[in-house]
Amino acid sequence: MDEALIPEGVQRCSAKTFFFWTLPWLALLAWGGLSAILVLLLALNQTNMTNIFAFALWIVFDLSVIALGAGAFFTGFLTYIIGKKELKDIINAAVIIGFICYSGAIGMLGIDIGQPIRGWFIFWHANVHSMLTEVSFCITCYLGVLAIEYVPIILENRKLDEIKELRIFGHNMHHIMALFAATGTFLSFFHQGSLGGMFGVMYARPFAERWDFYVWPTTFFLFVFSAIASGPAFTILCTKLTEAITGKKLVPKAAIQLLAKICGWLLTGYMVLKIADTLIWALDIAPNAGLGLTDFYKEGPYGIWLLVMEIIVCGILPAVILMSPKHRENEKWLIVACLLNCTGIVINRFVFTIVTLAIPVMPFDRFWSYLPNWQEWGIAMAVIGYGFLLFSLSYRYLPVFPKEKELNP
Amino acid sequence: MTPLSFEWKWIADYFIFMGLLYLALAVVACGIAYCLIRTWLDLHYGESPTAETPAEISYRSRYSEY
Repeated sequence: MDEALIPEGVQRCSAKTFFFWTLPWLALLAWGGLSAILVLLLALNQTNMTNIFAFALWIVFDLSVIALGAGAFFTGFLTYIIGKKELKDIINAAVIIGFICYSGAIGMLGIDIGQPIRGWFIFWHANVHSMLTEVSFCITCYLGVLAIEYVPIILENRKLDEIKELRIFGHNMHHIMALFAATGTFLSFFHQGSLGGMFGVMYARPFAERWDFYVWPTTFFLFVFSAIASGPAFTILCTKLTEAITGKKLVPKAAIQLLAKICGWLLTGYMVLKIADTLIWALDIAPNAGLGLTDFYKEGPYGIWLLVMEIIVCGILPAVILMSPKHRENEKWLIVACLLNCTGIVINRFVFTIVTLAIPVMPFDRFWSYLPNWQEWGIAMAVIGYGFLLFSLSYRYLPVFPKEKELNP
Repeated sequence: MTPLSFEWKWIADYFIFMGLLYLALAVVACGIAYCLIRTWLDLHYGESPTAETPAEISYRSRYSEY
């Protein structure tokens, strides 16, 4: 039925099978749509967010997908600016994953701000001293850049490619992609950093506060570092998942191994800095606020196990696996390491968003707990459904993996 | 926000913050404009070999060759 749209020389499942594959993702989108309608019509009281938890599940999801989507800008940076030619075999997938992550995050933020009709206020009435303003500017602009990077891939659809004007336009865009990649790197660096900086400057909350390096708290740099260490791992995971579902080899081993090796080095560097930062926080910043490390973890479900999980299980362990060529080349170990790496980043964003708000800051204050309700989960799950749907459509109708034909004769 | 907005202040903070935003937007806009003009020139003057014959394989399928 849709054979004319499928790239030449590759095999795809039947339209009927593809339709059934999309059903669960459409169901997630429907759940999210219903939740969005309720929240937009009846306001944010449809959620379990309160004045204490103004940042909740959606912000954890936002920060996580934005960090995991960093594979797009960092792979682009390595491919176009540093000149790692092997990564050209995976850059399309990285761009699509990045686009899904950022557009999903912005869609979710549109619901989170309560009145999306006033969303433009942050641009027009900008507070130039706010890190959130910087984040908003950079995320929105970077989504534009990702859309520009996505356009040439869409224009390569078999039918669109027959239109001479579009083909030449896509070709010309491809030739100056380094310019867009450089702009994307600049924008990404600042919004990833400012997302972290936003927590580091919470001087009234010793759990999140960090010391400053020039005008930025250390969390600024740690968020950038963690995003570039985990984003490529997420790209590898998505590629491996696509290979497992389709039963095909899609990306040459050299590209995956190079990305995994870079991931390993970055994760190791990040862990060194993260451990140093945690020690300074525990031994200097917290005591200066009259608190000890254990004071932060004595109430509620968020115990010190979170710190152990984040640094040891989901930090040091995947770094060791990815740094060892023997383990990295083993498919199972590679997937385990990437999975742990991505889990670590989600735990980090969760801790900074939720645990920071849950821990009491005043002697008379108490521990606050929060559990998202179905409307909040609905919006979050819709992003996952949207991601699966868009990536599936892209894989089916666009030449996402340039070496697919060669690797599957 | 632009220098014409009532909230604008003629201080370094505003120049740096808004200046970098407008710089990024200008770079992206110039890139797109370049592509559009180049496409128009290619179509009308046939400077690019790609304008002459339709490609049998789409560009990104030959991505590694670029």
